[in-house]
Amino acid sequence: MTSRQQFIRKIIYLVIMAVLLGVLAYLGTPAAPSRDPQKASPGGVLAQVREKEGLTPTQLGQLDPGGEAIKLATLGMRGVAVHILWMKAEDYKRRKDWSHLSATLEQMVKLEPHFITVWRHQGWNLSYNVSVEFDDYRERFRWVIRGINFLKEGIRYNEREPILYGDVGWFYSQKIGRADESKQFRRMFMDPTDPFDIHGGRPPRDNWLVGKDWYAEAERLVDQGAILRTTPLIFHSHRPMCQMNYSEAIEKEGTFGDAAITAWQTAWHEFVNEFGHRELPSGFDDVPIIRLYEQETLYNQAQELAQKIEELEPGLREKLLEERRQELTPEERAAYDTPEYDRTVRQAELAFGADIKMKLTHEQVARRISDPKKRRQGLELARKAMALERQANIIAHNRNIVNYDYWKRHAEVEEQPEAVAARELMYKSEQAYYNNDHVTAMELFLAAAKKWREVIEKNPDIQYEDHTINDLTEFVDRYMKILDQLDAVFPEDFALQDIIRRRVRRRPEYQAAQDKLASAQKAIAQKDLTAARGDLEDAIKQYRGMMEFIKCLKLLADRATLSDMMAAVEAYDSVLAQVGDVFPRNFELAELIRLQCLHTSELRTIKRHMTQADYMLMQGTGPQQVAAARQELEQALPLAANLLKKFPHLMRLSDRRTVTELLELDLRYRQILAKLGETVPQDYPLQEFRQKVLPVIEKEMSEQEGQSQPQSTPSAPSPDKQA
Amino acid sequence: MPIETDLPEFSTWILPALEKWLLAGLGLLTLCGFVGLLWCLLLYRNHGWRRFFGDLLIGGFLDLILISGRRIGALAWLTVKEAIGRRVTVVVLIFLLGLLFAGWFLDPASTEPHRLYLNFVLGTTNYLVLLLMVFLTAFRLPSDIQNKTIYTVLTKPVRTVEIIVGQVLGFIVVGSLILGLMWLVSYPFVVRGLHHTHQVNVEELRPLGDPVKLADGTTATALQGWTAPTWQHRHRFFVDASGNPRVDMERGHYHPVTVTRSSDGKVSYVLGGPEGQLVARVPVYGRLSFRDRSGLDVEKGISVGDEWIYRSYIEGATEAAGIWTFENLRPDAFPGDTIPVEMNIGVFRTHKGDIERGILGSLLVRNPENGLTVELQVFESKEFNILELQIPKTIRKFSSARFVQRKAKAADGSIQYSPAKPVNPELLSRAEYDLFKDFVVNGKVEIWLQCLESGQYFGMAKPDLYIRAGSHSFFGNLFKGYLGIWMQMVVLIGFGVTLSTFLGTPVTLVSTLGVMIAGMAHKFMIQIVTGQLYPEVETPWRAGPLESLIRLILQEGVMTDLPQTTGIAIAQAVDRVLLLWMDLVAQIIPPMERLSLIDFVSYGYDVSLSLLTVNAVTVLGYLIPLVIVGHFFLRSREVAA
Repeated sequence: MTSRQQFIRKIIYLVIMAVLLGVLAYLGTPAAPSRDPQKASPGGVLAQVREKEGLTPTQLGQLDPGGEAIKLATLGMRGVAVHILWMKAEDYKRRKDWSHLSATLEQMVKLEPHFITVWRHQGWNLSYNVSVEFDDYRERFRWVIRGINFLKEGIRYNEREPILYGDVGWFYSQKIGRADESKQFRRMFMDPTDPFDIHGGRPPRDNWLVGKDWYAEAERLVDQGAILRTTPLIFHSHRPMCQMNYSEAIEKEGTFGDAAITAWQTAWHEFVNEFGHRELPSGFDDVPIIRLYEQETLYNQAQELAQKIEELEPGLREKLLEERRQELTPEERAAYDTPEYDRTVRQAELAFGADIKMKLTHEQVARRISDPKKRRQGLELARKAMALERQANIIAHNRNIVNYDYWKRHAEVEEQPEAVAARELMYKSEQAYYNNDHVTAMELFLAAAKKWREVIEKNPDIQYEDHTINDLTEFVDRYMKILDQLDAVFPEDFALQDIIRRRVRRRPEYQAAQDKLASAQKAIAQKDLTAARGDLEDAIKQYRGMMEFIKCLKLLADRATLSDMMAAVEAYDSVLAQVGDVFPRNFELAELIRLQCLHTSELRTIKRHMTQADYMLMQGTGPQQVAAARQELEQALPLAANLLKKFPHLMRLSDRRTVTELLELDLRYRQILAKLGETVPQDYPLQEFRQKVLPVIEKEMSEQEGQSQPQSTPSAPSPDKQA
Repeated sequence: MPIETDLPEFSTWILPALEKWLLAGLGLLTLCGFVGLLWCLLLYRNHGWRRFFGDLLIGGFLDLILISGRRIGALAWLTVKEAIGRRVTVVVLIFLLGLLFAGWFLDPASTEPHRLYLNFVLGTTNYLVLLLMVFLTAFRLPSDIQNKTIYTVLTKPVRTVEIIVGQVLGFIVVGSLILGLMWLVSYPFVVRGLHHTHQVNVEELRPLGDPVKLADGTTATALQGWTAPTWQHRHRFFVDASGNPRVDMERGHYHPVTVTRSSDGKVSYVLGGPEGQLVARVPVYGRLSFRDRSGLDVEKGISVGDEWIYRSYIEGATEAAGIWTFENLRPDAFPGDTIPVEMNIGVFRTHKGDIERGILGSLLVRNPENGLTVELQVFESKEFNILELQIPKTIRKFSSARFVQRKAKAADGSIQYSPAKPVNPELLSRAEYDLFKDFVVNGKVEIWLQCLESGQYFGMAKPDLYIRAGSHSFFGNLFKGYLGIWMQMVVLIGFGVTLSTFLGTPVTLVSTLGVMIAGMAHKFMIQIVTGQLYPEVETPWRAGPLESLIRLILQEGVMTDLPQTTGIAIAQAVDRVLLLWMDLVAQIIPPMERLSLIDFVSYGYDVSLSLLTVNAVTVLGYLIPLVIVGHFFLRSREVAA
């Protein structure tokens, strides 16, 4: 190549370089801010786009010179460095080396301060995964706070990321307020000395309210246009839910009266007026924006249009509905007509099918209008009504996601003075129980139940809601502990029996038991006693199983259900009488019968007389003492006869413990008569009982002895063992 | 401190290690001899290869024998001067700069700030000094060879081995000076960095217990309260009835308290700096075995599903126990009335229980010969904290004294009891025992740990419980930590200088850097080669780079078997060769992790003389063959020239 050619080539290279430099400058010149606007330069295309989209480092958050220095020090291998650090962090976590883990996370975020996932993932890691590795709850709390502080550090570098604010809000509210150790966590959070420096020198506030403030800040950013990286519906529900949870939490901890009412009122306002009125994306293209509060309004508007369709041809809708109704089977019709919350499981299934068959759209009604002009009008109205209903249904779908209806109603009920009073009584009852004052606990509990009855009467719809049923069931189950301590059962006029009854009717075991009972009745009518016995035993087994789910039934919480069960026992008794057999030794409902017997005045008095008679005989065995003992026992005998009349199945050993006690009474009486040289009177009330029961008991005892001969004898259950 | 591999005891380690070293050395010599012969044959086939080989071999060995200390010293001094000329002291400035800005990154409010500080200074020193040596060794000899200035040295009456040793020694001196400076700066940095104190508000102190009558007839009440929080922690503060204040241990430290009285008689309490954080505990480790829930001796405890299988667990409220057997215990080794026992055990709850307190455990001492066992005390566990208990030499307070037999399953399935006969019942009814007379037999004693709560578990590993035979100076221990870095540096210098005898500058640089990085990941390499990377997997999983690449592409995890196609079979066969090579490399690469003593210093455990000696001998074991190999390489170039 000649030197001229080399020179030309160099010139060409220079020109290309100049052109490329120009392009580079156009694209990549950095912005040059200045106090003097005339001297400021917006920079190249990229700098301007960054400025416009808010992606410059200063717009994202605070600058970190240390982090920038470390990034430079990686010499372009920042990704590799982060990878290694992440692996090391996992290794430190696995080996429970917490100091190194924290230090590694700090290094990691220096290299990637604007990668939100790192902050979120590791913040969660610290607060949720690392904290539970500690046995001491104080250390757990410390690590929860570390995770929160880690997120707050992330916010410093990413000030316009509402999801980070939301995460801080979640950790403050849910992690501290809902953890298993929430009682301890909340106590430490509200410690006035603030050892973890959470409140920055200000007086401590409830964690739910602190969380709420962070959500509020996140919402403010979203309203200003920041990108939200999660579902808006759920995101915006967090703030009012914090207030709801706060209201529940303070009541759980013993704050009632005006403070609780105000808290619930605030919760309602924030949930309905603020969250309910917020414009939210629906997730459906045809109805892009919704407001949750509008559902009822839209349905009403649709109803008005439906009314107008009805006016075009009065009676048409009813006629069409009746046509459909005729197509239902009788069982479907009965299920359809039963109120929803009173349906059994079978009825619910039938009603679901019936609903589909009975569904009648506005368009279907309009199409059946006889007059063509009116039909066209009707179809137009139907189209509008269906559009409104579509919108309302979309709102309903979104409402379901956040359980809007439940929380709205919950706040409306809880802010009422009766509800606050009922919760206060519940709380006091629990406190009395924990202070071992069981009598006061029971009184307060019954008062609370009555208060709840007032609440239900004022707000009848709540008794059908699953949450209310579950809440009250939990309340009733707690009362069981008190009754257990006092050896008592639920009173006959217990105020919440219908709630329990509703729960019972929804159990599949109850449905199965009722079916078996019906089948047994048929078998009895057909004189097939074997089949009847089998069905009755199945029914009783189902009742037993049901009692394992609804434990309060064991203490006679619902008398109606008790009647159902005793009806089955009586039917079984009658079948056994016909086949000449007795109740099996492990009879499923023996404990229930025993409990009823124990709480009769007859058995209590019988026991008192027997104890008194024993006491007399302990004083001596002279004629005076023996006569006194005889008198005591003779007072007990008619009561025993009454007991047998009340529970005739005792004759067939439905409850062996009570039967054993009555036999004991009989035995002692005979012994005393023998001492006095007398015989049993002819009108002896326990004669028939003894004749029927004693041989069976003796046979069972000899069988038991025979089985236990070669080995050590297992101890037989004591007749006095409580249910 | 977790110690996942047993620490070697010099007396038991040296002979087998020496045997292996001699065998390896012999093998290396033979290999080098063979390679040298081959090289001479190939390159000087027609130019008197025999003479060349003979000259290399005989001359090389003569050089090794006729080495001169004076010449080595001179060459070393030359190396030092050149290194200083290259401004190696800049690295100290970088270190100081790092310390200056360390405050931005070191969080004194962390749960173990002393570990963070110590890891930072030692870690920074480690990397800085090693990298410095990498660069120094890479640029020294190869540039001399490249610029042919080496011949000015070679023409002098200097043996090649003296050049090698002189350079190595010179670099060691430079590195030692730099390390020494860093050590002297680190100590005050750590101490100052961790210094803090707390305020105590006297008005917030509350009475503790009932009033107590003092010796002078007055009554006084003890007080309790909290110090003000500093660095996200605070201490419980107590003043006994006599007015003596103290604070509880928190985050591994406490503060001395002095009482001051103002002119108007008001008492105030002034807390000093933290103490107990920067320590060098001298642990005496025992041998750990386990007893299962039925009382049978087993090798390991239960797994509770923890990914990290370092600890085994024992079940609470059963016969299960962790048993540490200590040997060579002497009364004179433990002045005072008690023997301190420290433990750091894991806790696993299967149900919450009472979360307001820790799980209860009990400490027992057993005579290994006659089975006499006393339950000394019940303690409340505290995970991730060192719990200190005292075993009194004269045991007066104990919950129970009983006879406990060890039960072990023999090979034939029968149970063997030890001891076979029960102890004299009179021994069980005594009110007082002497630890060394009644429990220690020929220096041997057993310490048992049991969990007392049903459904809860204690996790333990061998180093989790030890007898603390006092403390050494932290300053001295820090020096030992730097000694560990020094040993790493010496090995790396050896490799660097040796590699530089036959490689150019950039290749020497990359190779020495590679040795350093591979040495840091030595354990990882061994785990890959032996298949112990996933110890929780029963069958060791051993796969080479090709199979790993295939699994990455196919997204198949380690638990699934690959389809047995021809391609995969070939890849696996090639992998076997690659793994063999990797095994060889892993044996040659120095175990830099093992030479590092940073963890000992940061966790607060004294580095034993035995461990230091083992490491020093290991370093020497690397250095000698490296020097010899380097000498022969350089000699071959000299002879070739």
